Amino acid sequence: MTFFEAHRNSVSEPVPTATEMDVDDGNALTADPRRPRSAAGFEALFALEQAPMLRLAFLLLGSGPAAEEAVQEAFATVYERWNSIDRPGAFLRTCVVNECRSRHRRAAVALRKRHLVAEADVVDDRHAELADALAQLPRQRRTAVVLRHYLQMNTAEIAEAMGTSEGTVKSSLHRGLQQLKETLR
Amino acid sequence: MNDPFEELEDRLAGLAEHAPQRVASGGRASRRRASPSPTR
Repeated sequence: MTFFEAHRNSVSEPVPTATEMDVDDGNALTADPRRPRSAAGFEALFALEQAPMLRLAFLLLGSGPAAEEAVQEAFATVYERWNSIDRPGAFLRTCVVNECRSRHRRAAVALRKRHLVAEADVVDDRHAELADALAQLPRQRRTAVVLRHYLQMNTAEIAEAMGTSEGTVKSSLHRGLQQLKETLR
Repeated sequence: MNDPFEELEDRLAGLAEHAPQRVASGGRASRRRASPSPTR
């Protein structure tokens, strides 16, 4: 089942029906923002970005189920705003970061961050070591490090995705990498 | 670990492989009602 089929009956806002696959919409990062986008374009974005966004959310949250929930919410937001957003790919990434931030805040109330790692079911020792080190980073540092060193985003792109300044991103990166270095020593 | 930064990107990619491959259908998002035509 596609995302569109799963959500067809749950969203009140009408979504245009696709008569053909729109190639530009398929490459959502370069789609012309002035044209109404097709439902097929959304499906193309979903097919293209579902797994990468799950991996990003997993690195930010340390939990598979939480990553699924965050990515589903992020796609739902993109779906609702499909005809009004300029750059769907970048908007989706920002939504994923925001959803992960919300979950961090909620998790911090009830759990120690370290407990999130236990949910991740990471069996490889080296992966578990990194997961544990990431879990010890404050959220902003963790997000900056993952966006920079996993997605290879530059500081301007990270600042946009996190809704903060480039200076804050640089500081978060510096401190985050220092903390990782000490933890992984 | 000798040089954490040298291997960080590879290790992040390796850890990310533990992520789910697909979102499950029917979560909270699928039950959520859309807000009326927000703009950005």
